[in-house]
Amino acid sequence: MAKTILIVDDSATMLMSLKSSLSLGGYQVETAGNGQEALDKLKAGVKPSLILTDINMPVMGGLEMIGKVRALPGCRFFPILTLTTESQMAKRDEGRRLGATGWLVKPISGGDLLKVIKQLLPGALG
Amino acid sequence: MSNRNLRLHRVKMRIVVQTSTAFICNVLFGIALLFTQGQLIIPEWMRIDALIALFLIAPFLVTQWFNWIGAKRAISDMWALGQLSYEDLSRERAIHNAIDIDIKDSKPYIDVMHEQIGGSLAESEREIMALIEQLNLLSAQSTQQMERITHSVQSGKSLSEVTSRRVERNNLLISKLEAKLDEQVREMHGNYEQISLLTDDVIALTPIIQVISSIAKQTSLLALNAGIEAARAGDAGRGFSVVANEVRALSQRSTSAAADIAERLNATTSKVAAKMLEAQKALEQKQGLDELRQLVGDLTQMQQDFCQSSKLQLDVISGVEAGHQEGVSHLLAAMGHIQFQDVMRQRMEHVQQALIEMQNHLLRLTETQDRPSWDGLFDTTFKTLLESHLNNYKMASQTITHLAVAGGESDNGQSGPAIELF
Repeated sequence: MAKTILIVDDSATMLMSLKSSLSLGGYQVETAGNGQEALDKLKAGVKPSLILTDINMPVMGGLEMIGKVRALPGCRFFPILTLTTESQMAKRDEGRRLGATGWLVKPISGGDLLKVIKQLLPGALG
Repeated sequence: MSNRNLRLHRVKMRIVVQTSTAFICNVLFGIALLFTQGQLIIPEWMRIDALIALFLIAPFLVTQWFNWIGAKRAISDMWALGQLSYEDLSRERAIHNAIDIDIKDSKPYIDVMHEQIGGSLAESEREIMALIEQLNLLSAQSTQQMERITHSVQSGKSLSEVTSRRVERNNLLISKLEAKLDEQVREMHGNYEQISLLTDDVIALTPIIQVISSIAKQTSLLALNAGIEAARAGDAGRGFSVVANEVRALSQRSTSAAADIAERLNATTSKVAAKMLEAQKALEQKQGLDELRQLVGDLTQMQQDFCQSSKLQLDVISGVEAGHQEGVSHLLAAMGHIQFQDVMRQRMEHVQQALIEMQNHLLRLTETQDRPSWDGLFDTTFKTLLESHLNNYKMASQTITHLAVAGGESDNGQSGPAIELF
């Protein structure tokens, strides 16, 4: 059964391109426009195998979301990747501290993204 | 009216009053002199003695004293005004200098924004071209796939045509073989009938042979009986017994001859039937062999053609699969290039905010310079605003552009790897 990835980004273009890339890799995709939407989806029962999130978003940013996701039951250990334009090392360190699994800088090619995800989700159909 | 203008107005009025009174006083003094000197022919009734002259001179002196006081004040006021003008001018000059410096500092601010926009445009152009290149490769890949599939279809058609022709020919051969087989079957039937007839004839002969054998046996018995009677007859029957013995011998030879005839007939019939069968088989083999050879040859060729076609189909499928993988790879790369839109959006948003910041700063400049108590110092300048940007950039490329245009140093330009797993 194909694994599910939750993409969180306020840019419609990013959601479209990432969804296309991950679908080509054989993954099922759920999307959210900001951190609060992502949290609502998780509480509603969506069980992703991996979360891919932007950092700078309205309503709730990615770093705040990561901290709150890690506090949810059953969400401490699945991988959370950030995909952002942020270059400040302080933000990167904060992300690591809050529980991010990895830090990816935009833009990233679909091939490289799938390689990283395959490394984190071995045995996936993608 | 402002304080400065009010004071200037007062000075003007004072000067007017002063000059007017001085003029009047001069006129009065002149009259007084004329009176005292007696130069002017004045009627009797207008002769003024010293008291009157004094009355004219005293006001003159008083007004001159007042004029002196007024002039002192006027000079003091003018001096103060001059000082005020000087302070105003100094203040104006300071404002001018501060604004001048700030406006000069706006150049790097605008230059940085210009380069941020230019950099975004250049990056957009690069990514668009890379995207177009990937789409072109994808299109070429799709064309190759179509060519492979078209070639495969053509090969399949050719094979189908050749196979159809072979099948048609083989159908003719099969028809001929069937006809020959039918003919041979008819011949076989005919031969079998003949053999049957022969066999029937032989079978029909068998009772005759049996009759002959029976006759021979009976003759032998008669001869035996005759011999016995001849023996009974004694000497008279001696000649008869010889005849009886000869007859018995003859009957025995007849019996054996009949048996021999029967045996030979059977053997001959068997041989004939066997020979017929052999001939029939030989005939069949000879006549069907050529067509069968051709049929087998065609079937073998068809099998080879099908094998070749299968191999070709497998090659096509492999090629299509490889092409599909390559197409997917190009598509994934294209999706990555599309992400430049989000990067550019964020850079443009930063420039938008910078323009609003510039607008607000210019409005503050306008408000500040009208403030009378302003000391000529700005709380914020273009320079400080630009320096604050350096610590707030999100992307390393923004920092690099800033430093390239405006100079300076920043830790923000050092970013980590593009892909990092913790």
